[in-house]
Amino acid sequence: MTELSTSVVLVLFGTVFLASAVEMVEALTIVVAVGITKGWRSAFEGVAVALMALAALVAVFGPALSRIPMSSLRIVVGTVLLIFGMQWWRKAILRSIGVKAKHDEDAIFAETVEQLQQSPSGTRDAAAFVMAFKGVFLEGVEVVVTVITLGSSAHRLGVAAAAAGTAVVLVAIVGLVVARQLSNVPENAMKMVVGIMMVAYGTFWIGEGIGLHWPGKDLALFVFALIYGLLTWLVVLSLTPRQPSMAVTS
Amino acid sequence: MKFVRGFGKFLFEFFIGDTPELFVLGVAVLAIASALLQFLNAQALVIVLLPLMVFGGVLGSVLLERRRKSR
Repeated sequence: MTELSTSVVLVLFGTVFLASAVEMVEALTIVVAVGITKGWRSAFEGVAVALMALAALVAVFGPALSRIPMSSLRIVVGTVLLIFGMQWWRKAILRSIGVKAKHDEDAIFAETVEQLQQSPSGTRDAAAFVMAFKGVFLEGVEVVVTVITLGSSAHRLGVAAAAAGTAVVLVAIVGLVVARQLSNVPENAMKMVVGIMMVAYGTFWIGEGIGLHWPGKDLALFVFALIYGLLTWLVVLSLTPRQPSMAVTS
Repeated sequence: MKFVRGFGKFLFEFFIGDTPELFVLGVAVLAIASALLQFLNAQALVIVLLPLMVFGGVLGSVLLERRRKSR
């Protein structure tokens, strides 16, 4: 088993924290839209049931993963992180160069409100419950995958869970205080960092899993993140369309 | 049965979605790196090739989407 240094554990905490915060901002936008439009009772019930379903997922898959031999686990987890991280990374690059529209929390909020206004109101609103449940569960599954994969492969499931928990609580508190969607969060930048870190972890764990000896051991993680980050910067710089020059008129 | 089908669809969307090339890339990277290490014991080559394949694949996927959108 590779003994991870404190700095790597901190990076693990940071990666899981950022990934969870990004997902929770998305979930919070939907929950706030549901709460404001249809009342908080159905919204909170949807959130509570979604959290229970997510806890059940962790309870089932967490212990199961710990029974898999470490090298096989790292290959599986590395591949999952690689595929998952590449999706985030690609999407963030496409948004940065203007090929894909940036994730718009305001638009999601407006769309959710519009959908809910079409359903009849009542003390218990099924549409509101389902929307809050789906918002939290679907975004939460990504958090669970991040926590389980990163945490178990590094033998730091507790650290990963604590990072996710901190992010969830922090986003929830901020959400309650401002009582609206968090549209000013630099989501694309966060997603870019998380995508790069996930791919760095994926590359590292796949190598470890197949018996590769990385030079500098776990420092290779930082090197990957640095190289991937630098290459991303170059790609974004060269692929971003230049603004057409303004015609000067007299 | 409906639940299993729904779960399968969810997993498909989760890991493959609209970027099947990234799924294939992830599996290919693992297969190529394992083969090089297993049959040729090419440690140094895999150390260089593994991150290169990953970045090259993502860049290829970005360029593919950019071309698709510009049509």
